[in-house]
Amino acid sequence: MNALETRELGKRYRQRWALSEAGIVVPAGAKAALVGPNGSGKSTLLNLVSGLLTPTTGRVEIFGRPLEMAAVAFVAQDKPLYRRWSVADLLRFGAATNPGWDRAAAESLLSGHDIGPRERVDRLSGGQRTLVALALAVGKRADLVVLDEPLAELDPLARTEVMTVVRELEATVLLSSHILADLADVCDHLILLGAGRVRLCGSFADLLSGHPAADLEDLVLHYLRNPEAVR
Amino acid sequence: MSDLLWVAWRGQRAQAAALAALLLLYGAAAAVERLEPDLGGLTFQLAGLQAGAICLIWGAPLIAREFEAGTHKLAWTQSLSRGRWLAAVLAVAAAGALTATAVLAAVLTWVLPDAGGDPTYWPYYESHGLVPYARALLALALGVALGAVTRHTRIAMPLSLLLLGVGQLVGRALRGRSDLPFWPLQWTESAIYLLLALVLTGIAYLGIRHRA
Repeated sequence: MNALETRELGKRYRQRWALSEAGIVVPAGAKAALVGPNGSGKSTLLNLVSGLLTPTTGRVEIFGRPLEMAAVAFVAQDKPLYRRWSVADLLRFGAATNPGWDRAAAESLLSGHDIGPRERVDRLSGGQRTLVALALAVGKRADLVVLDEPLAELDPLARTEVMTVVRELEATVLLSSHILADLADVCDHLILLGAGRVRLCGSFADLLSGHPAADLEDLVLHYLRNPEAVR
Repeated sequence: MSDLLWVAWRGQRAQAAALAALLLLYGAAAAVERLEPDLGGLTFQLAGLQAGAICLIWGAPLIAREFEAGTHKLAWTQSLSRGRWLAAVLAVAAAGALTATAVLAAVLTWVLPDAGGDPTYWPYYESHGLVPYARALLALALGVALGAVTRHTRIAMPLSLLLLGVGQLVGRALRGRSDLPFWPLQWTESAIYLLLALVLTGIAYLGIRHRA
């Protein structure tokens, strides 16, 4: 069963196609890394998959069904949160806006990292804010968790903490990052975008077998340097 | 639904506090006028600014601020539709605007229990009856719609205030040409304001429906 499948997915902004004819497949339980240069369409793809944007062409299916808001949890780039709210306020927000809200799961993630309910969001560190955003995603109990650059601007310690949480998520995960080395430990699938098109999509093992590249980084670099290469 | 209203209230309580503070200042000015009736209708004149304050403080930032902080991406990727989110947010804002208008009307009655004179003279007409309530809702909807479409408070605030002011002058001019008595005129004008507010709410919804 595929957790996520997109067909002919495209998004046009006025004259420019930010993403076109994107067909990706992420099997249930996989942790998929979305990589690609700036402007390659990563955020557009994630915004489409999370339902924030409406596609110009094509469609998104979650477990074989058309996308519904409750099926996907999304942590947008820069982890937007209401900065003047307390952590408890945000959890109440999650409960009020999601019928399947799992309070225990969200609270245990936070207490596991010593983030108290009375702390105000704007007094938290970047790593803590990321964890609060992840707690909201976990509490939603979605089938698919989508994370846009969750590691950006985090120090190495916070990065490790966040990646540990991501690794232990039960849901299927699709996350984007610039830093391939961070993803190799956590992810098992790779989606490579270039100039608004899908260049690679598959499990690490499948992609590497029968390819001269020594490792993932090598493989990605090979495809980025040869825009015509298609697998 | 009540939980959702709490969420909307949590997001707007700063606006409510700001408007309450303004009303308190207004109350102080009214108290002065009650002691010193020679001030010449200062309270009346100030009452005309209420719709502008609602537009600036509450309407314009309501959605524009979400875009500016990026929090619309949080609000609109939960399990509820944007339509329901907007309905909850607007319900709280409208309740706030109507409450503020009712408080102001009560203060006015307290200062000038017997206005006398011409009831169609604008300071009296615009602060009594139904018109101030309808105008408060129109001011709110105007700010919200421009905030949703422009996505910037710094554009939505002055623009909505300008349009509201122009609307107020147009209203006065048209009123001067009509020969309807006080209440039919109030009903007609209020109905037009409410209709415009509904249209603006529709524009706000279209403004957020497909955008990220």
